[in-house]
Amino acid sequence: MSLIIKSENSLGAVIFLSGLVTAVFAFSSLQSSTSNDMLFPAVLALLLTLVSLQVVIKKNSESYDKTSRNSLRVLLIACVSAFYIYLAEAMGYYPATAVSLPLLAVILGYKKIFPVVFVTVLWLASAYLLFEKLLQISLG
Amino acid sequence: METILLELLQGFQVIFTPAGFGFLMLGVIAGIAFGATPGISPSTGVALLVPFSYSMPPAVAFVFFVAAYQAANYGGSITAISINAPGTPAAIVTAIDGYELTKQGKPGLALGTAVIASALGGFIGALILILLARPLAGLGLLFGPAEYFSLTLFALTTVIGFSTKNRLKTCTAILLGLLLATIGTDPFSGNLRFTLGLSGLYDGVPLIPAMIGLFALAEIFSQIESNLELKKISTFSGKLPGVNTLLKLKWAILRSSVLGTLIGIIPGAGATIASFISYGEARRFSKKKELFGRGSLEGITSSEAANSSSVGGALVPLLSLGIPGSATDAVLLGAFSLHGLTAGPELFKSSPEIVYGIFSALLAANLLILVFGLAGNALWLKLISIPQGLLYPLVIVLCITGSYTVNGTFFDSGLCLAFGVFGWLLKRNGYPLAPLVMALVLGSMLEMNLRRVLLMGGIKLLFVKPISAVLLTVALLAVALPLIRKKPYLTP
Amino acid sequence: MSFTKIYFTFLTVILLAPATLLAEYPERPVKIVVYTAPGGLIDITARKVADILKKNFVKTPVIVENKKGAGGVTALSYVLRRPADGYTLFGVTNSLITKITALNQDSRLKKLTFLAKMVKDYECLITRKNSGISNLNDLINDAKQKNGAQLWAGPAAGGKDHLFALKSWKAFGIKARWIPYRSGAEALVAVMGSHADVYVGNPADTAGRENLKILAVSSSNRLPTFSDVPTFGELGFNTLTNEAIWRGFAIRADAPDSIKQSVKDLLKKVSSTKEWQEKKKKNYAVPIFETGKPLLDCILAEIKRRKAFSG
Repeated sequence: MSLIIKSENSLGAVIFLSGLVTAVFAFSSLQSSTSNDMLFPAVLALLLTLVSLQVVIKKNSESYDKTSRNSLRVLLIACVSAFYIYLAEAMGYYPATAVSLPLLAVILGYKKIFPVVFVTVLWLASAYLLFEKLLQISLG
Repeated sequence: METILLELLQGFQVIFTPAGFGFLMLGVIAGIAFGATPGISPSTGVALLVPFSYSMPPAVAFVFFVAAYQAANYGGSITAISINAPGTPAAIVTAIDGYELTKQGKPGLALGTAVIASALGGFIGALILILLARPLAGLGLLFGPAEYFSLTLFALTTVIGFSTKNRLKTCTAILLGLLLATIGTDPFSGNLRFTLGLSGLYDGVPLIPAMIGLFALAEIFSQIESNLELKKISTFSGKLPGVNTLLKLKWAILRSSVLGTLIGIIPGAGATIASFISYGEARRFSKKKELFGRGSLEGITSSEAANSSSVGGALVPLLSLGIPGSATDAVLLGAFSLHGLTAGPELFKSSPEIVYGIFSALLAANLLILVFGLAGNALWLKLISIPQGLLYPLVIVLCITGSYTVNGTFFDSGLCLAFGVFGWLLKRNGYPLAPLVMALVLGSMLEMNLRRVLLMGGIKLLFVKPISAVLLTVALLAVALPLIRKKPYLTP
Repeated sequence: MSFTKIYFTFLTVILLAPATLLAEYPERPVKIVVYTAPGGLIDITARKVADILKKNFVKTPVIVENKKGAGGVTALSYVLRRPADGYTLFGVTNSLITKITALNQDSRLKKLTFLAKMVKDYECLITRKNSGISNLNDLINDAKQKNGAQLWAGPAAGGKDHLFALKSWKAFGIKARWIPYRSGAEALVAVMGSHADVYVGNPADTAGRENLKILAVSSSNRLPTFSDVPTFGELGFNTLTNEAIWRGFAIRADAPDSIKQSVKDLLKKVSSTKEWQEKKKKNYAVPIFETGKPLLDCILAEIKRRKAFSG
């Protein structure tokens, strides 16, 4: 996993492959259907494939930040955020936020309990007032 | 001229009643709140206010709406500058330079400039509306598919200059954005493109969640990765721009306001395009081009003045022809209908107090924006000075919540997060995000209008129609000249 | 709990139960879900209905909820997720039916009961006054002259207006080009600015716009407010008569029948109020009340028509 993240051209390769796949898909759709709705995407995908190939081939002299433990922390945060969204859908916005907000703070190394609780409560109250009461958008 | 002044005085009478003034203030506050909240665009915000107005006298109702509309375009700059989460698409460009200044420890400078530019821009836009509504109304109708294509292409050229990194990666980013813009239902064939069976994508990639993810979340992820330990932003200046600084910006403000108003008049080209084009023009005329993208005050000024003045511009076709000049205008049209009115030249004759009430509300709202904005800055600065370990989770929650409110579905929140990760990966590999976002925003306008042009008579139309030809030429020059001069847009 | 207590509790419940059944609908807030943003046609209609209900006929709140997105699928899904207790109504238009059919989700429409059609706006063809086309005949000649290059503007292909356009081309024996825009309003602006020749719309679209002209309207008889506009029927195109966009309301099919009837009755009451009739006429729309089989047939016909369109 860390190998993939380290390789500076891996993203370029992914983009190139996506471009290629999309281009193939788009051009074949163009052949088979009567409408030319895939024309634009096909051309764009083709250009993307060509340009991204150039990016991959050219060796850049720019140095990138090395992958550190923090990259994993980012992925962890992203996963927790994804879980938060799932929780909000499953058990409601307010309980999910009450759990996730402090959890995210802890992962980022913020350990003081009182401010976390305070901010969480403040946010939930403001969100409730702003969205449910004022704007009448129910948060579920 | 005298009649205009007289009518205007009558209009001011509306806002000097307790109800009128109350709703003017409420409108401004609500507008700032909407504008600042990522996820609620000005049109959504005003739409949310419409039901409340059911029992209000129409004149007061429209003071309320217009004040909110004007204020919302300012509000977007607040979160754009402080946490890199543009509250409205028109604040994307503001975020680019504004957040840079915040990172440099000068958020107050950015926020202050944004307020002043917004207020002045909005004021100038309102003046142009009041004095020149009738003569300018016809301008909007001159724009058809050919002209829209060329205008959008021109707006996209401002993006090219954002490449601080290499040109190839910028190209890749633009192409990615354009490709993402093709997702959704194709209006020409009725077919779905690339929606992967997800009903959340039927209308295309929801712009606001994508934007929030690519800007705010990607930035947070990048910061988490690069900071070995998270700490408070230690040196932090809440200082506002001084008078000298502001005076140097006067031409930027004037130019951007006029440009913004004119672009706002064009139906379908609103605050967002106005901010893009205005930014590009500001850089072209600037003596400090290299600052753009790194914390240029001219950048913030041009973006904010333009998106605020575009409001006055958008009201021109609405009031004089009954045509919506922007998404929010469409909401206002619905509001007119709800109150039993018809927008258009008839309105001037049958209910002048409503029209002039709107005019005076627009002028007064900008004054209030200045007051509330400057006062509110202290609050924002306090907010963003909380430790990053606490700020980031809050912003993440805000982005996820805001994305949900766009369409009432958590799918959009998930999309926002996905774009956040995507944006982070792009950023750490040296791909610029601003071009991607702009291409995403402008992509469908570009494609759709080109296809319309082809149906209308072919590509040659773009060069034959005068306005289109001019815009294309300027766009071409904007891209070609720097290449010819062999000078990169931004010196490294 | 002693046996006596249990007995009396039981008795009370038995005696009160019929009373709850007889309680008048609605006892709780009613929600009307619409698939557009505030200000859209069906939204305005729904709000008017809610307003009249609150003022005259019901004691509980009637709230309009906007659930836009995915061509109406978001709103449909939302309504079908709500409890089947009859307290959620769904604002429907034939445009919605067409869109949902286009997305191949028309089978879900079977889970709804269509209660009533309440407003109708006739289709008509609109052009600019100074365009050199002063009547339908001129339009047809112009189309033949342009040999297929005449430009008709409207919303997305496959939508109601496009289908009407296709039908009229067939009736007129012409070929033309459909230029889709993001919305009807944008298309109308294109026609106003001379970027397209014809707009498929409704008489209300010409309100307040002096430089627009209606070439023909789809009603069976001339409309009172537009007495100089001929009908398609008059001009010999009977297949184009009685084409209209309509708005109405639906409810979950598995809601209690008694409640469905109550809602229908309430809607009927709304449509017979003076306020409703006048408001509709002011907006150049036709107030109607159609329910039952004719309505169902109409909906099935819409679905069939959209399915026949191949894009």
